[in-house]
Amino acid sequence: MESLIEELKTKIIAGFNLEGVTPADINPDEPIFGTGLELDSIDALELVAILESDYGIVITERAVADKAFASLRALAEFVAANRT
Amino acid sequence: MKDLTIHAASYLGPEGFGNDETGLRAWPAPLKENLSRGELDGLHWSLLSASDPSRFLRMDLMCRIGFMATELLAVDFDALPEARRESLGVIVESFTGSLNTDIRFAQTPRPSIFAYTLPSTVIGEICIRHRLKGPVLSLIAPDTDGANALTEAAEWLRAGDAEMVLCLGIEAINVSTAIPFPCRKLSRHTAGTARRCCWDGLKICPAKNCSSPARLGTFAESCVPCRNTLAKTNRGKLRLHNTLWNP
Repeated sequence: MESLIEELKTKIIAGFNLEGVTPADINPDEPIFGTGLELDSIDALELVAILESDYGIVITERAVADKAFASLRALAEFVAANRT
Repeated sequence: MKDLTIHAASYLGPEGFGNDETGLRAWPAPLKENLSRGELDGLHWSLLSASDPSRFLRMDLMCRIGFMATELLAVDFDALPEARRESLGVIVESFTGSLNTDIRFAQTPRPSIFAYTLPSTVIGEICIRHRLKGPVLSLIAPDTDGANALTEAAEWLRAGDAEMVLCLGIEAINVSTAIPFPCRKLSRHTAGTARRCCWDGLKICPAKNCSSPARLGTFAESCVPCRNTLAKTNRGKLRLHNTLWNP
């Protein structure tokens, strides 16, 4: 699980264009949105695109996204359980 | 009618930066070689602003230039009363618009890049940063000196549509370098020819004896008929002449 969290950190930093942010700066237990990373709705779209392109996961319901995006650890668990 | 006054003017380009008080100053040499695009832009931003660069560094090139140019104007937006902010307009004039990011998006179609595939995005970013709520306008024009923006701004002021207008002339692609070289027959092009070509929306490379087809579609695409050649062959040249702005 920890390796998947690190992998997701790397993808988020690259995909969200977070220049100057290192994986160590991201707390896996904090909410992905609404924290110090200052992510917005476009980033949410980007995250959905990453899940689709890299893990074959399609999110169609808001409730599923809310739960999966609660934190990076929650996202990693979601990816591990749903990747194709 | 009240006199129209240019409050401040700033200059930002590959060779340096400055405003009407400081004059042009050369960019300092990077502290170390092989700085990444982000590191170099972060260094430039730190010269102009003490604010957190995180938002700035997430923007595309056009927005970064617009942010830095606005910072250079040294207008204390925070000191302006709310009423003035609501009547402070913004006009951005550009020749290549969001072409730089359009090409990036064509190569890498991601939501985070898509958000910047409009020449007006920079206006939104500036208005959010300084809480400006007046009229805005994005101009695509063949002249690169911002004269059209100033003309339009003067009309807004005369008509009472705005009390103050921020005018920016922005190019994320170095027009004098990039546009004259749409295909392999580089020496046959001049800036004037290329501009006319772009403005007329020609669908074929104008170089003599060159029949390279343009990709049909947007204005941006017809601007650079041999886009693939530009991207592959001239990338080194573009970077050489435009080290400040090209990603």
